[in-house]
Amino acid sequence: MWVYVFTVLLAVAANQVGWIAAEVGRQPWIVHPPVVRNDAGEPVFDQAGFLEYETVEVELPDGSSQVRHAGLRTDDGVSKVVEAEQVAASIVMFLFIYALLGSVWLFVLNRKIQAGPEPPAQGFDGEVPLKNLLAVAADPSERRSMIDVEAERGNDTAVSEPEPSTELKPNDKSAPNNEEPT
Amino acid sequence: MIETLPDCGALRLVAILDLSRETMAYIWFVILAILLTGYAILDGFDLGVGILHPFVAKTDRERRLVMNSIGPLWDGNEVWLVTFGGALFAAFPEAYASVFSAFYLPLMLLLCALILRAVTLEFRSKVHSTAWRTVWDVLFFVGSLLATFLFGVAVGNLMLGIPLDENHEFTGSFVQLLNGYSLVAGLLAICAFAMHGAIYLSLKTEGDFQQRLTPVMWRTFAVFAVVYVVMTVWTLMIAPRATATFGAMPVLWIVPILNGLALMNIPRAIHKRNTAYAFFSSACMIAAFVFLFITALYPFLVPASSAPSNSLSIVNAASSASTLRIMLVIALIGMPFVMTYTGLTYWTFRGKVKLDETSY
Repeated sequence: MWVYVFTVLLAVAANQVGWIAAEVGRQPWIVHPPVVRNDAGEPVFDQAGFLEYETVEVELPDGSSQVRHAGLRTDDGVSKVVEAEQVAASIVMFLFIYALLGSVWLFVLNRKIQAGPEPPAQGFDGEVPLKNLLAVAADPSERRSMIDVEAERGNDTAVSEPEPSTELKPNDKSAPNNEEPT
Repeated sequence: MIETLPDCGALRLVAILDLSRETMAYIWFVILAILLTGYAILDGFDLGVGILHPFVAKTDRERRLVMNSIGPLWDGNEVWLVTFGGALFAAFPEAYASVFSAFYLPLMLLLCALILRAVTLEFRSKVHSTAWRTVWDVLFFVGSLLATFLFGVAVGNLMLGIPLDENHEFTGSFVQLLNGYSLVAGLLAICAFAMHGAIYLSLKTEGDFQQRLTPVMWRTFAVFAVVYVVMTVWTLMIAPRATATFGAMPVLWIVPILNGLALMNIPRAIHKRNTAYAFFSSACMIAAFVFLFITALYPFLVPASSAPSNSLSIVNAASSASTLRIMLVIALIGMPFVMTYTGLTYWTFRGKVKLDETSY
């Protein structure tokens, strides 16, 4: 059974490798230009065997114009202001944060798994009527887990008035009362 | 049949298709201002709660009360910031590129602060150990404080203008961003949010704990008022641009006046023990602050301190007409949903905060 514990890594690896494939495959474009297609909808290649891209006419500051590919190359997209050390510092920071959060997550999750699931306090027979959900949302004294609400259904006790709160709220005209027909 | 059509909603939406790029750029400027105002008011109180956390909560139960007072709300509040960043990126890509490159390191620090603060709420209650909880308490405080401070520093720098060359590239350095004026702006943000958070906490709690918050409200207000006066005088001295827009539109003077009135109304409301009124006043004050910041920038998004002609203005930083148009249509469809779920969340979690088995 231990082998299943490590299969979690496969899902994570698949996710990451997919991202890497997308990012590397897109190069040298950060915004890929549209590909020229023939009437049959197939991409067109030039004589050297490279894909042909759609072009766009760009107006230069001196008034002349130039025809360019309708995409953005990665080296044109990179910030000229941010220095390499700053990028390195931010990568180290994120490595640190993710390592920290990853280990905390493993620690907490492991504890939860070791402790096992808590038995439900009350029986819970599935369906919760919509009316009941709305009543819970509308009444602050009913703010608790749905299990408790289920347990109290049929137990037709008078519900305490929502306590007067001084909080800012939208007009408080129709707090639906909670005496629901069962 | 045709005559009745102009009244129906679908056709009015089509009118967007005729707007010029410039008009839509100004519309997006106003939308960004609204997003920033909403963010400052909403995340303002939960950042303030984080700043006050170690000072007002003495027991573990009180710390949980403080955290749960913002528990279901803080992440929705931060969506306003995400939306602001996304809208800035799409509507004013040049301004986004210049500012995010110029503020690269501070923004990374901000991300770090917001991430740590966010996970704190989730992890703190998971283990029953004093040491464990203390670590998360410290991170919650540091994250809230640092994020607020950095927001203030960013606003201070934009008030002053940042050095840009003729290609709108930042020519300054990280150390230059930490100038005296901007540091005091960071302090002002901390004081404002701490006061806003204290009033919010008082709204959400009861009994002995709530009683102890009254002196906290007074103290945070006093400190805030002092920094506010310093900052106002300093701004008028060094940034004549801050009031230039008022010359063209004298009706806007109503905003600084309302700002002053809202500020003075806070102690009045606290004295009358009307906390909701105090919260409303501090929310209005923050809104007026953001408005003053935006009018000080207008008609620029990023004023260049090097040469005014290098500034990023609303028009020269805006996207193409078709981008702005698509965004406007999406915003008109999306906004009602955001308003609805925000309203529903606040309605559902109104009233005093209670601890139960589902609490943090």
